[in-house]
Amino acid sequence: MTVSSVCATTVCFSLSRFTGKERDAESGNDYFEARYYSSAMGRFMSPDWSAKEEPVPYAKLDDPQSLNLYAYVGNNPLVRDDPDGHAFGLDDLVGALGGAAVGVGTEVIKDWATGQHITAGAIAGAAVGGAIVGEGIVNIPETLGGSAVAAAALKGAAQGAVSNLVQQGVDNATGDQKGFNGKSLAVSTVLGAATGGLASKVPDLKISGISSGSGNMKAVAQGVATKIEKGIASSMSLKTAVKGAVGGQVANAGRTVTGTAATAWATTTCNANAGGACK
Amino acid sequence: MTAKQNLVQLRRTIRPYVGQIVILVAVTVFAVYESLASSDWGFMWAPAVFLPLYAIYFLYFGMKYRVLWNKGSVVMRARGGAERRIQFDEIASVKKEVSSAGDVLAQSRPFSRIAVYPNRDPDGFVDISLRHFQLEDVEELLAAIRKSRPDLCVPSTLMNDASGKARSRV
Repeated sequence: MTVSSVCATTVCFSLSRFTGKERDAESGNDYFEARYYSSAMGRFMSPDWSAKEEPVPYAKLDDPQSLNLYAYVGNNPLVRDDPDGHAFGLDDLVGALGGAAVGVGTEVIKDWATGQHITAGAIAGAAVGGAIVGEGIVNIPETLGGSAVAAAALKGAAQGAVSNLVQQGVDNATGDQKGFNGKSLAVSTVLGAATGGLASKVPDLKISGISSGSGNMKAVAQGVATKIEKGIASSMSLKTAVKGAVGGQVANAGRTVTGTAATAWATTTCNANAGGACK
Repeated sequence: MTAKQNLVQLRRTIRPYVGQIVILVAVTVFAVYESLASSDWGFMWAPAVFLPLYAIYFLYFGMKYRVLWNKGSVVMRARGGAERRIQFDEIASVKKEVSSAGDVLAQSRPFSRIAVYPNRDPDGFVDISLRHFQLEDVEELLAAIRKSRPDLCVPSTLMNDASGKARSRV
């Protein structure tokens, strides 16, 4: 081993400090991207801030610790961490809520495109199904090193079954549907499997005016996701936000298109069986 | 004793499965309620048949994903691919990563991970999920890599208290 590599090692390793953040050699403070943390004082050197101007960023009125803008993770470092200096991560919740939002968005677009009446059950079903996928994305990769199709298909089947069950349950409760439709459940499950498998094989798409240069739809959606992750979503222009939303939908086009066909087919079947009771 | 026999497996956590199980249980409770309210037991189809199959599947898959190591190598075993083994002396880099949008859509890698890249094949990486395995064990593995390869910049996963004892985060 050369002397230079030993020196490089020492510098490299000594830079990584509390929760893996780099330490500024000059000030002795740890760099948390949004601000500096003083391990000697046990607090940040500047108050927390958000891109959108707020009197007390990230404040929660039921948690007095959140009002202290100099504290690290609400003064509870044993169970929380702060990856970027803004706030502690709740990635499971973000995954579930993000998935639910995508599910509802897709459902609304699908119903709008097919001219269907949007029911509370459809929204609830799409939200729960989306939450399963979103939460699963954060936690359960379909595969590690091999084909993802079969595994993604199974997750799609579960999403289809759960979405349909919730949709039928809520629609029964609200009077939009009467009784349980087994065929609808079966169709949703099978088509959920098909769309899940398709979604795992979505090609990189480029659409002029939305994606640009070498960027594809995934890249556009990723850019927006990164901004949200870093807490600077409010600095996005409307155009960028729209591009991100469109990019996400296009990247998920296989699911949307097949889902539209599935719902149309299931609705037709349901109506045929229930004498027009289904919407 | 062979090197294979010396392999230590990273201990698992239940964290990746909690959210899914909570959602599935909630849906089951809803289905039972709806069945009782409407006297239509068709609502029990999904909880009785599909959801247990799904739960069994993702638990089975989770059990197939394992990371093992010894003093000279790290090994990943997972569903859908051959075993990947990287000797410490052939590591090109060790990075703490979060999935890109492409990874998320393809669902091909753990969302939050320590990735060990070999210098021979960039696609022959080993992913150490920060959700599937106990972080104390992951940190122990990283310490072994640091010790073996002091020329590498190896990230940390854990917070340390004043005495230097590792504590896991949530």
